[in-house]
Amino acid sequence: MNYLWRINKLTSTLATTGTKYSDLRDKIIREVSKVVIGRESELNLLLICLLARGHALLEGVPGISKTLLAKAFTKCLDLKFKRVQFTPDMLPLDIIGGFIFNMKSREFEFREGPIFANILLADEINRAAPKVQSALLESMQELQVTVEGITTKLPAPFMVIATQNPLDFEGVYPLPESELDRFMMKIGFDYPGSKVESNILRRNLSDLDVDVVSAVVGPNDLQEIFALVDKVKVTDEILDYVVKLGESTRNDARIGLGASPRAMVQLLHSARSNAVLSGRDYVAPEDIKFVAPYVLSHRIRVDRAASLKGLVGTPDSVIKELLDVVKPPR
Amino acid sequence: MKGCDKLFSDSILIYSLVALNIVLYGLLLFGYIRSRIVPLPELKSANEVFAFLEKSFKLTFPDIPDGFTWPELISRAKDTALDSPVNWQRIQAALSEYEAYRYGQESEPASSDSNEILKLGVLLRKHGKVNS
Repeated sequence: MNYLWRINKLTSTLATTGTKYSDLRDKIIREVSKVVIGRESELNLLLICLLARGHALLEGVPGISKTLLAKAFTKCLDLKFKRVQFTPDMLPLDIIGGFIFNMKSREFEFREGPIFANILLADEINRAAPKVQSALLESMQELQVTVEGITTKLPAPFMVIATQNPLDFEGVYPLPESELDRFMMKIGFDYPGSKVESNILRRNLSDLDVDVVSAVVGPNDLQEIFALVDKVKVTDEILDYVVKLGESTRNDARIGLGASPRAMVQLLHSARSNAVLSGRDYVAPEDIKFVAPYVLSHRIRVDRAASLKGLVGTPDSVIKELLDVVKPPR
Repeated sequence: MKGCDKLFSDSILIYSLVALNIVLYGLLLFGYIRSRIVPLPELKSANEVFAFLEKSFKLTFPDIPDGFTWPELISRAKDTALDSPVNWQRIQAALSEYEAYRYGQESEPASSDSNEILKLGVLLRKHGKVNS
């Protein structure tokens, strides 16, 4: 009886906390809309990524508010934020920090790089050499950095929001697969529609300052939401569905490189985060279907031969076709 | 005496015409009400109700891919011109309850809660028959 009472109490606590944050998405969108117009869906994905404790890669041509959106988003969160502009002459030391000789104490001491923040904005990440891009691998996966054999933990939460230009642009290096796999989502930025663009122009007639965005979520709230995401229920049938999706990417003749188990784990985490933002404490197939194109498309590689023959479209379209074929539990 | 007889036969005629009118209008009303009431099949559990809806969708839209989810189906049904109005709020509520049961380990909703879902299933089948 006591056990039942405790279960009821836990369920009601979950429900109350869930209600408390059910308007989180709207609050953040409202705040960010003060400076960025027409990027609600991208912002929603960024929030899903943060709550799932993943990293996001924003891709698009220059000048379509990728960096501005990332800055405004972090302003809403009341977290420690650093920005690094990636350039071809950068060194790993410029990001993670290193040992510097202190003339006073006559000792080497570790000076933290900009990576020691809650949110790191890695602007134009694919302009840096692969060596520098790889410097992020350990921090993104294990949330720590190792310099000269000494490992230091990064502050929690830690999220990398990277922006990149499309690969056919001048002076860019493609991100290696291992690096791409560390990003929970790739969020594509298209040109805005004419109505949105006219609003952007109108908004830019006066000075635009990101400082008008105020924090709507504090670190404590975030910890509470993380706990909520961790409690989201996932049935065996949903797990089977995710496994079937992963297998479908590996068995499809059009795909040369299928989704990794890490990709499927991240798919599940982001689906849980989407469930919380939708006011539910369980994952439904629509959560998986919603996040899958953003989580999987940058991780798969379409078969080169099939691509040359014109038999296959973009990775995004292949994933959408697979989602149409794989039967979810109903 | 003769005038009295005529009056009597006239009033019989009027009354029988009124009665005939009542019967005719009654039949019309009955027919109209019957056409608005959708006869629902008797199903015992929420699982059966939603299986019925799934089958209705497959019969109505044979082109629908296997990977569909319930919200996708419902939004497609909303775009379909059905014979009778459907309470989409009740549909949404029934779907939320069913999903909470299927994926959230909540208790099974009573099949009576899913009457609107059954109605949607029947209407979809009707629509499919008419358009096939």
